[in-house]
Amino acid sequence: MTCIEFQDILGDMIDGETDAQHAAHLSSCSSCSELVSDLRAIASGAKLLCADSEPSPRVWANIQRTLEAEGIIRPATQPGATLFRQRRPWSSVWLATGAAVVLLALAAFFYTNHTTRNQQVAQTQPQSLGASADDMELLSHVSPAARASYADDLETVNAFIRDAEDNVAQNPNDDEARHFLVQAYQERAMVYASAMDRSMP
Amino acid sequence: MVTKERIGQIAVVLAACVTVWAADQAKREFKYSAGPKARLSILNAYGQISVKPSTTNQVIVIAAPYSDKVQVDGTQNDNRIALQSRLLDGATQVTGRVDYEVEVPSDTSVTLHSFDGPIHAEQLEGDVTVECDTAVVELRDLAGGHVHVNTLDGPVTLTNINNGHVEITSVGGDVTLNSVTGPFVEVTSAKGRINYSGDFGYTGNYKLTSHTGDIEAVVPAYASFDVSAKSVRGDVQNDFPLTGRQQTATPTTFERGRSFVGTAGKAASSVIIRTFSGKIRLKRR
Repeated sequence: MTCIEFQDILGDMIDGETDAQHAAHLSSCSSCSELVSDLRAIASGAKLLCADSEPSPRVWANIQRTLEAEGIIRPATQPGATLFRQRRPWSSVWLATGAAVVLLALAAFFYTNHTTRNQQVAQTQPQSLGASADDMELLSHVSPAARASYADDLETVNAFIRDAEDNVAQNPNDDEARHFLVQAYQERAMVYASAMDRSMP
Repeated sequence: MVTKERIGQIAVVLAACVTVWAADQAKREFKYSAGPKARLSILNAYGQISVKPSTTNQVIVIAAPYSDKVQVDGTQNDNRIALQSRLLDGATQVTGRVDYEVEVPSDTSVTLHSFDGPIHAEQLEGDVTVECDTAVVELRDLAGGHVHVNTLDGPVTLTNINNGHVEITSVGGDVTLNSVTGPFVEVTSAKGRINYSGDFGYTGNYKLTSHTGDIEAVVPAYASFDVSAKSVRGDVQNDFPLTGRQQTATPTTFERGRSFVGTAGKAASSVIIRTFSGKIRLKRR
């Protein structure tokens, strides 16, 4: 049995109707096993919720009459038969299953978004961290027209410094790596010198 | 019939003419007698600086301020001459602009500063120091002096620099060296490209370094140099027939595909090319 085939009988599975084939798949598939476990937990919660807030039969009857009057559903053909009384006993389970699917979809969505966002933060954080308090202070003194250009230059040299520092960390005995770092800092000093020249009255 | 658009065009042309005329009217000429190896510095906030050799021993500076929001001060102390654009209240990048045309004895050392330039110097034998932000820098036909350029984002082009001590530092500006030789040539750029075209001279040390900018050297077949090229994350490409050290590369420090070393001719000059994530290419001309 495949996962797709198993998901076709999920409703019965939640209601407790299992056979050997289903059980075999559940024992061998952790994904479906976890799904069933989650759905059962939600379904049992939903049953409690339904029991607490089940509308009275009169409410269901009124809704049915309204739907019939508006032609949305056909009138009941059998006397005493009502649409809502024909609900299968496990309809609340299906409701719960739907809710679970929605919840899982939402969870997946938020998880994906959260992961992506974390990855984005991880990627952008060095840049934001690269702009030190000194950088921000310096930029605040530069004219607005030139600020973006200096911010860009600072970002560039800070990236240079970060890579050079990493290189030194990886090759602590490498003179070239240290020279790289010195050059990176010289570039930063140059940006500072120019920005300070510009910010002078 | 004269349309509004036509009137607008005429107004723009007239305004430009008036500006040029006003600048021309406000031109100031400074003349100084200079001894051997004089030093001249021009600190200009905005505007071009052009320096050429004079046929006399005089330093002649023609300064053209664009408005009365900027003044030009000139001083001489012995053999040191300084000119400075002084921005007055309300000066902007446009109204604070001054264009300088300079003639100096060829052995004069010059220091030129302008945020936006352009800056041009040619046919000098003294030191040339340039500091700028976005200025286009063009230096050509210099010999024997130190050539130092610090720029943030302006492109730098050096052409026909002989026997120079050359140091170029750039953050984002591209650096182009055409026929630049000397005992010491070092270019550092964070993200600008570095292009070298020439033969690396004789007995010089050349170092071209970038962070993310590509580095390309185009060298004639007769060139004589020892080269070590390495890109930490980028690719390298060598189209020049090298011998010797190329086979002795240490795998741990010179990863194949990201580095190469070797010798051309008698290894007269040393060439070191380094970049973090830029590409390196050595080509035969």
